[in-house]
Amino acid sequence: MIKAILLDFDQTLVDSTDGFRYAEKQAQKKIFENICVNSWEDFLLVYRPLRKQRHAESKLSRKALWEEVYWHYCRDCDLSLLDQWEDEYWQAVKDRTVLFPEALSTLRNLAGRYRLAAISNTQAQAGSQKHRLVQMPEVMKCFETVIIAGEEGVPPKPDPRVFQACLETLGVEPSQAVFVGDDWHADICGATDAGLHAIWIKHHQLSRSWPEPDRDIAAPVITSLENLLDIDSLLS
Amino acid sequence: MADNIQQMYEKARAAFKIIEYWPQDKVDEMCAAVGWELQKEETAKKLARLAVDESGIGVYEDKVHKIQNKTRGIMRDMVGAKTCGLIEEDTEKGLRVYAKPMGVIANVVPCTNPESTVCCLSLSALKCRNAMIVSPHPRTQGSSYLTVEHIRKALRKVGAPEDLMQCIKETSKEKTVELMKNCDFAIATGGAALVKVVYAAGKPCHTVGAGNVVSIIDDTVDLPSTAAKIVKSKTANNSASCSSENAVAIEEAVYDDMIEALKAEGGYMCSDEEREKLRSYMWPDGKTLNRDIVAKPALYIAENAGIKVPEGTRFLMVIGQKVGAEDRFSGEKISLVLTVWKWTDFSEIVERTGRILKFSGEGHSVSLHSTNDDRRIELALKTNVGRVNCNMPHAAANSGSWFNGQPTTDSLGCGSWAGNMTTDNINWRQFLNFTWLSIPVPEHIPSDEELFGDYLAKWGRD
Repeated sequence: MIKAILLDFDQTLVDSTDGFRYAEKQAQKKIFENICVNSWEDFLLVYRPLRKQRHAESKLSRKALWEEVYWHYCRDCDLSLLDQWEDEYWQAVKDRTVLFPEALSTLRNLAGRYRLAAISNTQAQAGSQKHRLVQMPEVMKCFETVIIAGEEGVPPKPDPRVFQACLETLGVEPSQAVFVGDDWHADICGATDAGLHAIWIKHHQLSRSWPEPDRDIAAPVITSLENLLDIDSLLS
Repeated sequence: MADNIQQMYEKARAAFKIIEYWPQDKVDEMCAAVGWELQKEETAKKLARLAVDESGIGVYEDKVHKIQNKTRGIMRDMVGAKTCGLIEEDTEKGLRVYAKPMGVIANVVPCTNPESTVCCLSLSALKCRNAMIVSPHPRTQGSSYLTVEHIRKALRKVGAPEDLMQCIKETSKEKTVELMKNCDFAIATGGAALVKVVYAAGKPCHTVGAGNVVSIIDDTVDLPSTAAKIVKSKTANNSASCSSENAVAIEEAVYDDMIEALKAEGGYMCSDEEREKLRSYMWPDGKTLNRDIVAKPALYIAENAGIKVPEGTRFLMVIGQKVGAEDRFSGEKISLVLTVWKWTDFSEIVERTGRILKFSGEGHSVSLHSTNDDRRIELALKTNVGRVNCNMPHAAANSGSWFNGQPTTDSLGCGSWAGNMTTDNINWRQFLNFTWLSIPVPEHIPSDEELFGDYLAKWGRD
């Protein structure tokens, strides 16, 4: 019997895809201009693989990525400028982050029946108090606990320890909990490895591609948070 | 996980422990094996091809030549040098000096010379019984890795542990910093940005500085042959070297003739309008050098800057206008662009050169083409550089050649002027520790007369 529902944040409760795309593009332009090279296309051939490689290694700090780009071009970088750009990056994401329309009503409904918690990877945004989830008080009220993973000694998803730590706080066994998230690797594989049930949300409002599963995990797929209202039949 | 820095260090340390007390003859045999392997034509060609392909920097033929010459030059400097055990004894003072290795050395390598820097520093480190882990530049990691593979092959051949030399395969700034923190000593060949990173790692280290060579020409020299030397040096590897001439300063009496001599060697003098086009292409934001022009052919630069130049143009010339940030042409350009200054008074051009270097390249080197030895001395005494090279193609001379006595290297210390520990051409001498063994000698306490004699005689004892 399911006692607790744990949820991811980005692309699960909110649509921040436009925010990340916009912030990323702005940051790339600033760095390109500051590094002074000829070709935007050649620059992206350097920037994108570095970002992809670091993402695969769960190294999500934007500032550290940008430092690597400067290193590649043998450029001295102004760290205070990078700090400023990182702040602007997260402000741009925040300004373009929108709660899914059904999110709040669904969470309020579920909160009366299940223990609710949220686990969001920090994406190396400096300071958990700045996380966009913390700045949504109505959403926060629905959760008993919120874990910003990836800082202050808390490992990022998919590390099983972050799921286990959340369940310990709730006092719920892994088999009695379900995790809902959009990221195949961090959310679905991570939760499964920690012994939780996993539900893969591919929200119908998002225009993005989804990775092919590289493991055989029987995770139900939903396209709206409202599908969680009948969670027993989802898992049956 | 690939490139586990801690594991690489432990392997290097284990290899180091094996050779820590090897005798000189065994060490010299090991170095000869590595040197021989690196200077082979087939090795040099393979490494040069990969370095040029990976970086898009430099000229293949020049690189082949450089790899072979640097390796053989390093071997020349090391033959007969004592680096193991007792190397010095002073019986009068009761002192014996024992040379010891440093341990595992981190070697941070630039993309301009990803192979020859490894050749030079690996031989220097091995000569002193050290192990070395190379951190290549991300653009040229294949070249540095392949160079290390050849060194490991040579080490195996003579029964030395191959893990004395290792190379990070997929490099990053993070791994480089971790490597420097783990190793016992670091050597980093790169500009000011790298110097800061290296010192932040908190390990003893050697760093180098940026160049901005001004070549002063007076009326005592033969102009055509001087122009030929300068252009040979300027165009080598498309000016990738920090020792390439960045400017010529010509005495007014021979100015026109020298410009003609430079033109005869393939120089193209830009008009004011062309100079402005070139400036905005080379410094798009007015202060940051466009990385895409580094060590590119002159015709490529001219075309991209929108300047029409004759076929056969080998380098571009611009007139120097101001010294400092107001005129970026007064600084380092790492490209086939040569700034031209005119002078009438030698002391004035020495002072102006000092200001140019203060803006860019202080500590590195300058060049003089003159037969007047007083001028050579004046330049050496008054200019804050590690090296003054006279009547030679500077890029070929500065870091050691067959026609001068500068020690061979690919890493030029630029002293405190550039935030470095040394002004030396970094070679094996920088990779040793020394233990001073002391025994008692008959006590001698110096008298006031011995210590202060002249002072006391002149100023009294008050």
